[in-house]
Amino acid sequence: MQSELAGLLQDAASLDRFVRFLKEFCEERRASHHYLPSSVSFFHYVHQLAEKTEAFLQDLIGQGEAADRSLRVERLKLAVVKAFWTILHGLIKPAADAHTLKIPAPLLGLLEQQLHALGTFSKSQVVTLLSPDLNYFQYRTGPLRGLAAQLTLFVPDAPPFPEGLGFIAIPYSQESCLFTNLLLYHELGHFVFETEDDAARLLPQVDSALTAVLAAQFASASEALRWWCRDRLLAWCEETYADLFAASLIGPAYSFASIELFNLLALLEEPHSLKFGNDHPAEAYRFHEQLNYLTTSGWWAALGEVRTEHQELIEKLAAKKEEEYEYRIPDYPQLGDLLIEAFLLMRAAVRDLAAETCGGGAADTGPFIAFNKTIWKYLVNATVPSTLNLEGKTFYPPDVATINSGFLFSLASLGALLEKIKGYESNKPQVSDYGRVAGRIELWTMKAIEDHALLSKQQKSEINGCFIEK
Amino acid sequence: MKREVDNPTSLVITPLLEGDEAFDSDSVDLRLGSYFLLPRFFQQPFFCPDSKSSSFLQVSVHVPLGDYLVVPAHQTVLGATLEFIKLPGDVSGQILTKSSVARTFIVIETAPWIHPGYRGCLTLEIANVSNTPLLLYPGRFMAQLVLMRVLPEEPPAAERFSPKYLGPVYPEAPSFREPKDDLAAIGIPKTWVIPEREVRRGTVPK
Repeated sequence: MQSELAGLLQDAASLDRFVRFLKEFCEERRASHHYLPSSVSFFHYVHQLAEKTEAFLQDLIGQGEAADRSLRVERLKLAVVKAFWTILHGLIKPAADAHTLKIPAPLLGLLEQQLHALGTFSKSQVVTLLSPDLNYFQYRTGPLRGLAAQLTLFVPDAPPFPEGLGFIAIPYSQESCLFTNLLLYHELGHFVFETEDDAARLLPQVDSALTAVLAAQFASASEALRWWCRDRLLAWCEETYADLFAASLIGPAYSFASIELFNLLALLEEPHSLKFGNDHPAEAYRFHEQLNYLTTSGWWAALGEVRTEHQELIEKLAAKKEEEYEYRIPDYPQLGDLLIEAFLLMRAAVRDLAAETCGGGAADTGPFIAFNKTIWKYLVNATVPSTLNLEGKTFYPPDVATINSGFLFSLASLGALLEKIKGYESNKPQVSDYGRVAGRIELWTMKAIEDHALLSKQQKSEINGCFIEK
Repeated sequence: MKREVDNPTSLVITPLLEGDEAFDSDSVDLRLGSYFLLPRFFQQPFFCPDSKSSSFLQVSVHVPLGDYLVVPAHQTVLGATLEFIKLPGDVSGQILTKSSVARTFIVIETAPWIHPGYRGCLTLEIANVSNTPLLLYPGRFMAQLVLMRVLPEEPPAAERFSPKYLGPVYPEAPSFREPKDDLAAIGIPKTWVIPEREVRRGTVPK
């Protein structure tokens, strides 16, 4: 029979091979592609941790069967190290796939810049992942950080998990899109919510809301059921918060992007749009809250006379009555409605929390109102709208204005551009022509963001949030 | 320069990082962009310029500002200007290698003519004709665009864009029609086409 030490050696050797592979995989990818600084930080961490893990494994075996050593304890340590590397394994490949040719790098640069402007997040970094799922998500780093802290107890000099590092995932099919990827702002909202531990801040209000609605039933319920109810409300609050966070930072373009994705996933048809899920409030409620923010902040009025199907759909969903919302819990048929009622009591707290986080970082409507028509003129003339000529003066519109204007143009006025293309016949519309030209609008808008990053480094004076040439 | 974009005689060049100083009396200096198409190691024994295989010849590369691309000796890569250009309807352009760059044995164009009304970042065919690998730094000046006024049509035609390369922002793979369609248009009834199966095997049928 194999000795305990031989078993430990085999276990350690298998982990060593696994770690070496991941280290070399990162190095090989970094040698052949470019990555955003956040991904580079993550790969650097993986590299450092791999070296320390290799040294730890060698030391583990090198000590042999010392009398004061329990090999079973050593195997338990190995199990923790393995568990951590197994999680990293799941992150490394999607991060390595997200090199700068495969992601909307200018948008991610803007997103990080806006994140840094939010006070306590000035040093945060967000790693982009390319996911096989047709959805956007934020990878919660809490459990990973906990495990990383445990790891430092066993692996000498193991680097701490980078402070302020988060992960957000893009579906791989959307890599080159600009507008759909505005949903990343929602995931950034989740990252901020998790980092600030906003769930803990909302918990007393959640308890008050549940007590107000469920009264004695809540007090007498089992601890497990009480936590289950809290978790539902907290999850719905977090989703709504992330929506409001995104709408604050990027304006109505976020709501348009949500419509695009939800349409693709067929989530906007009734009765689905009225149904609450375990983790998400009903889409109708989400758009109600977004529209409320966009109206009070002036964005909805700033869209002016332009009417698109997306705007109508948002208004239609937002207008749904609260009584129509539905949450089914098979074991407790009455509880669903009561939870929704309690959740609706949280509305003001969530709005306040989002407003408090975004504060001065919220997108201003002024530049959009000032430049929207001019940006449209550039786009309909197939021209990148990064340097605008308006009444003989030169302006460099800020990114949020450009993105909203570009998205609105794409929804409302693509036909005007198509009319200008040689050979296009408006009486024989081709789906492929529309798709191709819509792709061009995204490309020109993305180029404008890229240009603005360069131009804003050059210009000294700033007027009304817009850079103006001296 | 300072005309509204929807004026057919307006010229747009963006971003102009040094403002109007980029302009000389007859030309404007342009910088190298960050995206490239490099020649791919081709699996087939030949390349046929048809509608299906035009993108097979290149591989995309992104080189952010601050980094560099090595162009091996006697190799050509496709790049693009950092600046997006909209030419007026009555102006033609010619893109030339900046003289200081040309003295390092870099040649940037073999198709230098730009038609009136063109929009897009200009694709640059960057050939290193020296015996030494050379570094290209995106963001540095690489080319000069010479502008020439042409006689306008009377009355001026409404601006209509070519769908072929509509406002490219990065270097793009060539766009071809099928050879048989091009030749049928001039009355050639039959064009030899290599069956896909034979292409894969790497043999040309007799």
